[in-house]
Amino acid sequence: MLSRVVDDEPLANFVLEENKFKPDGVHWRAFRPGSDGERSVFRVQDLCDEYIAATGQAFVGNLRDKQILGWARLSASAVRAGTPLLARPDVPPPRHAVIVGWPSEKERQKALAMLLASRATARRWP
Amino acid sequence: MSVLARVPARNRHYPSSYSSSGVGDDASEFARPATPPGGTVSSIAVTVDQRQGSLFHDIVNARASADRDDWDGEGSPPISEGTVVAAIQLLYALPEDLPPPEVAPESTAEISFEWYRDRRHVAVLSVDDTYIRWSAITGTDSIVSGSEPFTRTVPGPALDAIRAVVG
Repeated sequence: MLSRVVDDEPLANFVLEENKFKPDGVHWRAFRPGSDGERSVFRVQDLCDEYIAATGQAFVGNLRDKQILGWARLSASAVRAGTPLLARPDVPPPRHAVIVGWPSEKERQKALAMLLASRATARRWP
Repeated sequence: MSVLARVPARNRHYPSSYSSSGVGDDASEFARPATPPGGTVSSIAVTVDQRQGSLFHDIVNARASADRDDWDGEGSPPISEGTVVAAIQLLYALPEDLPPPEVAPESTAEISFEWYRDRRHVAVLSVDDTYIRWSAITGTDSIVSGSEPFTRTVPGPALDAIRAVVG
């Protein structure tokens, strides 16, 4: 894969809790940065849904002893556009990336997470 | 219905139908209530209508589900008693014409009140024992946020954002 995340690359943010899905998409909490100040995502260019799901289960779900319930999908350009955020590779695990550049203020983090969620599409799995 | 409400013991979940006309043994376990901004609260006397009563119990349950370190498996800190007091004060500061929000504990040790119309129209008010913060998306690519010390009122810009979301 390229050493940088390009604009048209799709990213998957895996969802492990049912309450992070909404009828029209994914809840903003799914995009909030963790205590490390990063939001973990995977680069899923050219992957079919079955392979995306297997990647999520192997590297996200199994770590927490949970089944993945699906993922939010959005492009790297949707992360960057109009925000201080960007996605950068962060391997291992393979295809892993992180969304960084979050402001320190909690309220701004939430607003940006809402913006990302508004630009994402939900894929429930299976 | 008038009740003298004190935050119940930890690890308890109460249904919305729960009510009390007094303070029982469980409630008395709520010791050392935090000092909220603007004064000391030794107990919280409230007049509870049905909607407020339901939200009150949502607050209590939010705290009960997040009263220990790592309550969400992601290393989040617990919700403090002072935050519960602030959330109850915020509940009674909300204009009555707003639809009821969804109450939840936050990984940031806050309790949040959320109004969700769709993924492009969401508003969240959050309180801890010191600050009130608001975040909202009020349409495509239109986000707002702010914070200020909590003085038992809903800041004007926050209220504007909520009204823009709920329509």
